[in-house]
Amino acid sequence: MALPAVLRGTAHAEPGVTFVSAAKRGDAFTVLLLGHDGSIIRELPLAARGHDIALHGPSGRAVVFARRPGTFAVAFETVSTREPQIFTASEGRHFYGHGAFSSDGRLLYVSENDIANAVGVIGIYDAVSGYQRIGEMPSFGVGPHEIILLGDGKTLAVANGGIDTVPEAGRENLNLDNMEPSLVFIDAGNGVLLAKHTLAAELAQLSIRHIAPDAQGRVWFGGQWEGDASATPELIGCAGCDQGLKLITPSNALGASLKGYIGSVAASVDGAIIAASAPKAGRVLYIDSRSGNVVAESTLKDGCGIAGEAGGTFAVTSGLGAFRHETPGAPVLSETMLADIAFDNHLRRLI
Amino acid sequence: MSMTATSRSLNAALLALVLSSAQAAHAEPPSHFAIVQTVLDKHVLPRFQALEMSAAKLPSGVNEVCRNGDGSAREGLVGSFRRTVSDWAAVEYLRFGPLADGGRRERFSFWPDPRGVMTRQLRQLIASKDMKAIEGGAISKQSAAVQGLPALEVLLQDKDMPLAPGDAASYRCALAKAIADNLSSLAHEMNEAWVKPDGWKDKMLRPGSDNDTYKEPGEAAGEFVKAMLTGLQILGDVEVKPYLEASKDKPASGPFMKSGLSDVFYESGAASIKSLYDAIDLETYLPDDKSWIKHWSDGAWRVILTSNGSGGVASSAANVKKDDAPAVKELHARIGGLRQLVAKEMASAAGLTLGFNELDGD
Repeated sequence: MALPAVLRGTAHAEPGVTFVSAAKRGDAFTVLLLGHDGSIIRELPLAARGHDIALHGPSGRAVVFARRPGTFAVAFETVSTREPQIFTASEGRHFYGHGAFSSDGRLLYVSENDIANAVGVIGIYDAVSGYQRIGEMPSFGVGPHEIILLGDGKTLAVANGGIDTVPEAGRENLNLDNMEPSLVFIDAGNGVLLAKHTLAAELAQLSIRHIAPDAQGRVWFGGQWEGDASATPELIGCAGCDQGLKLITPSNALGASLKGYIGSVAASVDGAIIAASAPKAGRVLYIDSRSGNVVAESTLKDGCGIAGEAGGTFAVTSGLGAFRHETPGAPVLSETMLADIAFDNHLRRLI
Repeated sequence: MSMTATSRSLNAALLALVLSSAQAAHAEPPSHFAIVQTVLDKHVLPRFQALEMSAAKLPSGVNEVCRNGDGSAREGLVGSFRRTVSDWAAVEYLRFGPLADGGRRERFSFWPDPRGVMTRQLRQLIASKDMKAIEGGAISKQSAAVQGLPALEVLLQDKDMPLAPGDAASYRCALAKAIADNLSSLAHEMNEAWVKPDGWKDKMLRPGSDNDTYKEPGEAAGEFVKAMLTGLQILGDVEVKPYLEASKDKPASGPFMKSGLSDVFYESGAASIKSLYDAIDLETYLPDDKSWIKHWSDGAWRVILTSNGSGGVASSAANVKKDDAPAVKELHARIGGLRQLVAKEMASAAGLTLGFNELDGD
């Protein structure tokens, strides 16, 4: 079953707002609404560090999530300055920093941990009625991280990172010797598991964390290697609902040189190119989604947030405050440094 | 007015002091390569060597207790365990290279363990009395939870079924010996991984295009800064914070509490991180107008090293009265503040800027 590409990250916005990203400004955490040139148009303060932002185009709804193992989320609108609404994880649950809206924008799916049972769940929230939690379904794995709704409007893809955490142990990973990451496809309407793809035993310590869809209806992922540095595998791969996980096979091994960590994955607007950022190595790779070949790369110290934009270009942000536009394989189009700003992992583009 | 011999020599001494202070104030900061060399020689290698030596005493200690079970044998083993815990705390935050490879950190000490995995699995293993699971190094293939210090601690501290000669405790003795052997092997492996030819010491001292981990000295030096920040994070968020959040219904739990060694763990870890801080010597990079950072850091370290991590006084701060022990809240804030200063101000001044996501992405 081929699934159409997703239209994630598109939303109407107040004039000028083009991108959204969680960030740190000085010692304070915030969400930045940015213009095309990276200028800050509006910002929302956060009590603690945020991570990703779920967007819904037609309604302009947006929600930023506390990062793992946080318990708060802040809902706001990109189309108005209406007062943001804070909601929290229910008793016995914490967030993993990611979520996705249903295609009609009425529901919000959030990756969460059932702390007592050490299993992942997808919390379901009513976005129309104050983000009340109205249910949950299994994520079919441990440590669900990024979650996206595919373009058919019915299928959720969930990256189960396989890493167990609990709030009382902070960000300590509790089960590195016993990980089982997976990429699963779930029917959003009834929670039925459509497919679950796991890695070979020798790759069990490759935590599948960040995902993006391509033009062929497959989902590309970027991982975080928790095993021996000398055994670092390729970190990037793809799968479909009926197509198992496959890592890229570059002529020269890339995993170790990317320092074992992909911080964000994004597709070009047409889904032909997949971008994967490796902030520890300060590199962004561009992959032809059809061939799986790495076709270009750029360097940016602590570069992590990436978002495809019209014309085949990408916007890229860094933890050191850089905001740039670039076309794969070509010189950087523009770059600006935002003083005292550290962009978090993910950058989302609005339309 | 003529100067006396005494005042002349006093003036000369004062001048020398001023000059040496001025020289110290403008001491040339170490190169990134020099940082790596100093940290390896003065900090990392001696500590892994110490861990190997202390862990090597565990197997014979277990043997002694299980052979004759007298008080002095038990005391000896408890002492070796305490020394190993202390030496482990001094390296466990260096979570890269030899400590990370082979899952050695989790295998040496499966902690934190909020789900109680170790207790559950150890109970199952003891109930099974499966010798094949533990003999001849087989313990190293079992779950990390039953391989290391916390599992050995349970066996050492079990008052109902203590390690002793005789059939009743024979499996427990065999298990304790297997764990002790495993700890000794792991400590040896880690030390060896540092010092062997083309090991991690060489890897960090020989950055370059053919080095798959470090391309330049700054990357290797940055690894140590990152480790120091990791250490401070563990100290603040994993060891101290539980005491901030503790209540009557839910008391704080710390590492090696059954043995009463939580304070030893904290104090050894804190002292080691301070030693690393001194060895990296980032303060020498600070410009004159940032001298306040040195003063602030001095104050923070005073608090960190005076505390036992849970509201009491550190054993090394015998001159501090119990009532003057730093409050947990202040301790937590000081650790957090110091971490911020190292990450934002000092590392940047040294050209070792660690990115927001590079340092702690998700």
